[in-house]
Amino acid sequence: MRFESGLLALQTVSLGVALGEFVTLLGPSGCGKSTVLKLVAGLATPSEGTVLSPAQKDQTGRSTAFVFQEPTLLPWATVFDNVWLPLRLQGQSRLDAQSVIARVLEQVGLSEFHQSYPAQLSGGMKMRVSIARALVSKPEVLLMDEPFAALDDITRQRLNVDLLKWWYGQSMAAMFVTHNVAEAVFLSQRVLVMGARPGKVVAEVRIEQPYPRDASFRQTQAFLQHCQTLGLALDQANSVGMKPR
Amino acid sequence: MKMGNLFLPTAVCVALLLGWELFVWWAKVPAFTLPAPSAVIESLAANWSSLLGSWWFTVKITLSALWLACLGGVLIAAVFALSPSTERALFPLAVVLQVTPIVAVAPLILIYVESTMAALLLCAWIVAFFPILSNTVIGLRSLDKNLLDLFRLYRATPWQRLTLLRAPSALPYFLAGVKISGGLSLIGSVTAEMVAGAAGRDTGLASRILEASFRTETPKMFAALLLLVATGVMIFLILNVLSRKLLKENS
Repeated sequence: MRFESGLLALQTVSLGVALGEFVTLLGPSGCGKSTVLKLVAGLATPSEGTVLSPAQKDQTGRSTAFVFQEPTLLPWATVFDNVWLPLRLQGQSRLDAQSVIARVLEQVGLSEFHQSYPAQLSGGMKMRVSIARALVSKPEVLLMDEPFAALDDITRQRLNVDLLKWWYGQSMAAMFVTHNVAEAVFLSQRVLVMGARPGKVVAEVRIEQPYPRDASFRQTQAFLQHCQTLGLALDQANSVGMKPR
Repeated sequence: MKMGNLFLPTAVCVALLLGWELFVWWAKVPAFTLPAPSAVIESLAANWSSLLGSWWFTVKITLSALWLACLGGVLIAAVFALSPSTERALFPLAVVLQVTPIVAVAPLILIYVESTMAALLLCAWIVAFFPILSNTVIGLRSLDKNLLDLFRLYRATPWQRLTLLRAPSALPYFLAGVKISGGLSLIGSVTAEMVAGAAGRDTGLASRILEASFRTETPKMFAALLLLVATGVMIFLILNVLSRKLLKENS
């Protein structure tokens, strides 16, 4: 994958994600993590190679959902209308969508706020709306590009626990991008460690810990062990990436 | 605005008028030099029917020009937003129209456009449409790239993209432009009529001011001016309320 400037953004990234799997891309900024997600979402096309993802052959736009680093909500629309958007774009009326939206809003704990506007919500709540919007179309693939990077640590940890609840048992493939080692360990089955310039996957670490996981996982020895392993792999990837070509 | 906020400006206004009245009375200034506020009101009452007719003429031109400026500004902005090459080709023309003083162009327009009313309308439109155009262009451009990606991901049609994303995100910019254009269309219509110097029954407040100045009926000039000021303030207030209402509904 090259940018228009000719900058090589990604090099020989080869990865597969199974349905119902939670995979995290971990790497320093500028390593092309987000570009991988854009490729999977069909929002970018590779200059070489192929991408096989549901978004490629999907005409209806229901297969894939994307959560951006910012909540990316329509500021002029209520929480309800924001969550309605994916269904609305597929031609569902407000009435038809109502029960689905109500269920999703209850799931993310925002039932009372369905008539609020984004500006009235906290950062964490806005992100919940953003995730609700992603979940409402029941996607096969859920792509998340550092969704919690701008939130404080307490909110981030709570959202991590909740995110696993929403994903677990949904037979939905989740791809999560972060530069936070603890977050990667807590969430994923598999962590792909990326190096920069050009971006590539340099290591793969499995987190052997059964789901459902809750906050207590963070206190276990296994968790710390995984963090250590992953941190080491990230350091190595980084030093490789910094070497002059 | 709260009542407390209204007190200070009102007090200043009343003090100024009172000072003016007392000064004219004390210095015995003749009415044709500087009429006292009471004399202006008197003249307003005396010439009420002729001033009212002219006022209505000016209001008609102003509001029509504003309406056409909204229409034209938005349409041209939409074309510019859809086709950047059209914008590159035509934007300089819009700038030329905007920077040329309307007083200087008005005599030419009056030559080429037969109907005085249409000429006045055109002049006012030229002055009024630019802020709406440039603001709306910026509004249509200033889109959240991620939102655009989101619409792409969900396979939104161009029509959905326009109505659900582009139009609502351009609305605040458009309204800011309309607020500027409201005042400008009044200025444009009055300026053009000053240049036209039209006489007769079907004329606006600018003609009344010219007429009164030829006859040194200074109180009547002030009376017509008072109506113009009131009209401008009314337009400003109405547009403010309208835009606040629309934006509240929309955010």
